[in-house]
Amino acid sequence: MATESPGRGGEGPLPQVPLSALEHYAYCPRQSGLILLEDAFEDDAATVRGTLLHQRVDTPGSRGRGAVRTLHALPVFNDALGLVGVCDAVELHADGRVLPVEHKSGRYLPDGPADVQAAGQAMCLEAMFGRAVEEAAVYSAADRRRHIVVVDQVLRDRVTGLTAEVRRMLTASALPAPVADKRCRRCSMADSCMPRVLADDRRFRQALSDLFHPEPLPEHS
Amino acid sequence: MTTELLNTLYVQTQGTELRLEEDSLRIRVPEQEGRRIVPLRRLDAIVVYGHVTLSSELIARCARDARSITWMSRGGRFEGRLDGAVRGNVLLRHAQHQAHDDAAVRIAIARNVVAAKVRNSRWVILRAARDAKGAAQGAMRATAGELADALPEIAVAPDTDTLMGYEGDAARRHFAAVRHALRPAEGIPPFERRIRRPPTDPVNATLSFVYGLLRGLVHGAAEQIGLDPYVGYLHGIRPAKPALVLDLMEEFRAPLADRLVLTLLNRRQLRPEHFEHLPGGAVRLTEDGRTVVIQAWQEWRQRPWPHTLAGRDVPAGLLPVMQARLLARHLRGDLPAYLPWIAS
Ligand code: SF4
Repeated sequence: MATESPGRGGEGPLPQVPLSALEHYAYCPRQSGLILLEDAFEDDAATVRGTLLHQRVDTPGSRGRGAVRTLHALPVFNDALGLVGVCDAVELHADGRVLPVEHKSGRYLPDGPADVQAAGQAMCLEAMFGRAVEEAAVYSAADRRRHIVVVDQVLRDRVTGLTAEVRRMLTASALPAPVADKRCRRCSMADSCMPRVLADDRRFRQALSDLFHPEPLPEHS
Repeated sequence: MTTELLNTLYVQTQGTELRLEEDSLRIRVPEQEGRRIVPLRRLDAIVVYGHVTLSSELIARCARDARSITWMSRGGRFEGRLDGAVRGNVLLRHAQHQAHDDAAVRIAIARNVVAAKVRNSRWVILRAARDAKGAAQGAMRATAGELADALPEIAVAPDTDTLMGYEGDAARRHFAAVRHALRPAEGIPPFERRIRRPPTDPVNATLSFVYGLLRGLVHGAAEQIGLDPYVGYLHGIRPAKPALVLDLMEEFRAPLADRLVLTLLNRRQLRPEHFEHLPGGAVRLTEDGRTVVIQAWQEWRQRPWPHTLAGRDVPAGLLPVMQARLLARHLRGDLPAYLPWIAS
């Protein structure tokens, strides 16, 4: 029973899309649906580790280090795109460069979902600081190193496209279908998502028709 | 008496005081020297029976940490529950209400709920019949046949009133057969029929107590998934009646509750001295009797049961969460029906 939300009729600002949703949506659309529409958030080892890591990074404020000033837990936005979020860390370099640094507990995957989130941060910072942000960084705790993401046109188009898709999902309030593939094994939402049950339509229908047809009495016991 | 089992603290001694002390729970039992301290992080849930006081700081802290508190009457009737802030899944609750207002969706869920109750009652009776002989076995097998015969009518029942009729009928047959499954025991009169509020014999007293435990478990599952416990399909909407919890309980009553009661009585874990007879005819478990049941319930909760859809075994204590999730997936449009759990 999906719910239709009333039409927006063109008034008011765009429904805002959280930067983190871009990453989730890029991994699996349903995952971001479960978080945004169903308020589901299930801690598993990976997310708990992530939270601990973020606690260390998320202390608002700044710490100077030579020619670089680092801002932590900086709220960012881009009204033209309708994006909002918080950057783990933003480096302000003496030469005027602005560099968002996203912290991840897991390994870094080139061209993976983290790139989209980092690029989204860069596009927010561009709008806020009024200067081009051509690079972003993803720090992977597992790799113990920083990976530079080039925010080129291809990546920007990916950000805009995913933002529109997340916004469509929010407006329709409908949960995307499960991907039900190997992504589910590493997904902290698997319990509430039930991808296997949903994907195995045949088993479900069989069980449904069995409901009113019990096995006959055993002849003798 | 306080019993701590599987991260749940059960407090039964009347007059006990529980208060928050830093990150711990301090227990003061009347007329008992000293006090006990339990670190809060060791507890997931607190269940209190009758006159037990909890400090408001403790209640607020439990709400914040999503540690549930369940209030039961002294005799074990479910009274209420605290689970902290309602989960924010407003779309699910909205869908739940819409489904209630949609006659076709509502009756479809209710039919499946009643069918599952009947199926699981039949399963329990057939299991009991395997261990029985002669006339008792014959009677139980006959009941199992009648229960199966009711299913085609349930499948096409036009409204919930009709369904409630089938449900009541099945429950009567079920308890009539349960009588044959109970071994005679000295000091425990034979079970005649189900009597609630207040029970007037040991078997009914035990049944009521275990239903209270089951209800607490199912209520917690509904809250955890973010469903509104008060909007049901078979049981509709009635003030102060957690209709959804009662709906979800139907499939579990016979295999999880009745079967435990049969086991406790047939194995003589519950004996006449575990029951007290109150003036006017009501019968209830003594504090010792309740401890026996609570301990057995906590072991029972860990017993794995096959779950067809999950494709694996699920511990009894988690079956209600699993089923609340399946209902949520149906209400949100992911599954074409609500499929109850069938014991096997
Ligand atoms: S379990 Fe699979 S389908 Fe469900 S949200 Fe996770 S990745 Fe997506």
